[in-house]
Amino acid sequence: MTNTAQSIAESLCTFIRANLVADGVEVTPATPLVQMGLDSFSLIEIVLFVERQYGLQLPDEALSQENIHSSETLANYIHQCL
Amino acid sequence: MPVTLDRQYWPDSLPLNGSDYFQLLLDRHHRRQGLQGNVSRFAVEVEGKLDAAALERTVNGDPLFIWLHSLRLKRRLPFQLPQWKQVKANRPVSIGIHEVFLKGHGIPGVLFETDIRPHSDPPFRLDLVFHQNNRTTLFFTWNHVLTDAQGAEILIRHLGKAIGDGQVQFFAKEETELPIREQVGHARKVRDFMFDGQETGLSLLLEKSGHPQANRYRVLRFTETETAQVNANCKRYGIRFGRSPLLLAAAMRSFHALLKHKGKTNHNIWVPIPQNQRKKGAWGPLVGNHVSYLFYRLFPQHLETMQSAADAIGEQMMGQMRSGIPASYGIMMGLSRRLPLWLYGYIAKSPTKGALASFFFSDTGNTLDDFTNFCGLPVSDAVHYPPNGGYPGFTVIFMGFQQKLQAVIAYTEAGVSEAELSIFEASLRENLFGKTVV
Repeated sequence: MTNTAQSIAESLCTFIRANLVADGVEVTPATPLVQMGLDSFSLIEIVLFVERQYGLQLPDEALSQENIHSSETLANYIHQCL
Repeated sequence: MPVTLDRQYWPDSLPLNGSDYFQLLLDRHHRRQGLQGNVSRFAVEVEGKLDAAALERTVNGDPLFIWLHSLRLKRRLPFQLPQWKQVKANRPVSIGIHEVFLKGHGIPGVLFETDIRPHSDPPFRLDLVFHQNNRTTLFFTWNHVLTDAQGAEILIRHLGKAIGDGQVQFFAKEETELPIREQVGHARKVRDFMFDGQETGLSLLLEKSGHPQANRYRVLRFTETETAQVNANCKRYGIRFGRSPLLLAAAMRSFHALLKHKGKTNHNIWVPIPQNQRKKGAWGPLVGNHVSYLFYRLFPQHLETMQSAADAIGEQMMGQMRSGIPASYGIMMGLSRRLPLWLYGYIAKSPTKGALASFFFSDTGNTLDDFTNFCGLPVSDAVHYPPNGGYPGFTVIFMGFQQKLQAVIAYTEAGVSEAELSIFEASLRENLFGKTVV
């Protein structure tokens, strides 16, 4: 199956909902990660999820403020790298 | 009048989770090596006078405080699950009142000497300190078996009406346990990890235990400019995930410098770091400890520069997260709950030959950045004072408060003199900020 930026964003949201945030916290592709209360360890969990799911090691520049603003922005970056 | 507890909501008994039981192990460890158990303190200073009588009424009218105050650890038979039990004849919460005539943030020394024995005492106490400069400090003291630093922050914010009613999540959801064989597999993984590389033994300020002394504390407050410099240095050293790795690198290098100053050989510095396991975006769970651990071992060659220390820490952090060490350690702690403490202690301390760490370290993060109001008064200061025992006898905790970084060093004079601590502080500042300040 081809990964689209949209499907990657959805997959990131599913991972965040299941593993990182409390029930009732809004998680959409556009929700800023900071607004969900995610901390640095949460970000590591996301990076490791991307490694496992897409076989992609995110370099330092991938974790710029712009790229990790939301699941959507991170998905766009991942999509470009695949 | 105190509110009657709703028995459906506030259980008569509550089993300890694995992280709580580990804190009970630390309580035993601190009690054997020092003058008190695993007792933490959180001081919140406000501008203005807090009304002691009104606060006491609020506390005694709050079912949460009444319930917490009624808990005692139950003595148990071997291999039974440890648990809190409500005592029936519980006294109301009484708030201690203290007046100080010192300028600044002076807190009476007696408040740092209070012990809380979880089997016989209420697990927390509250004191108010009235300062001459029209400020008041609420001093919350609790046994760490009850909750961790973040749980304490949530409780105090709840008391100060800084969190909306109904937003606090009191208890953790029950989690499905893994089959016992899988749990044992995780425990084995942790054991192998802990023993790997421990041949030389960890480096300590004190060679052996047996120095029970009162704890001393030194609070380091950093300016906004210094805090900005620390954040900028994270970027400079290529630290990608928060500022904790930089704070740890600085503390480990300064500890290395302290060992050198004391003429001690540094084989390796071994530091366990608590990792908050709470799901994000919620005020809770309040009751219980919700932490697992990552472990860092730096050899002298890692400690030559801030860059090399930060690199080694970053590599070890990613390696442990990738191999699931914090999750496995959490499962191991849960599995160990049925062990008697003496046996648990023997197992947990054997990789480090009794000391558990070269020193204890923690970073509570930025959870206090938005803590600006308590009972309608502006919050002017908030500080965590960590527990500290005689062995290893040295603890460093960092925290953010209203966008400024601060640290507390807990120590005993058997391990570090005042002059030596000043050497550590100077070294820490240099490691954190470098020679130049932006």
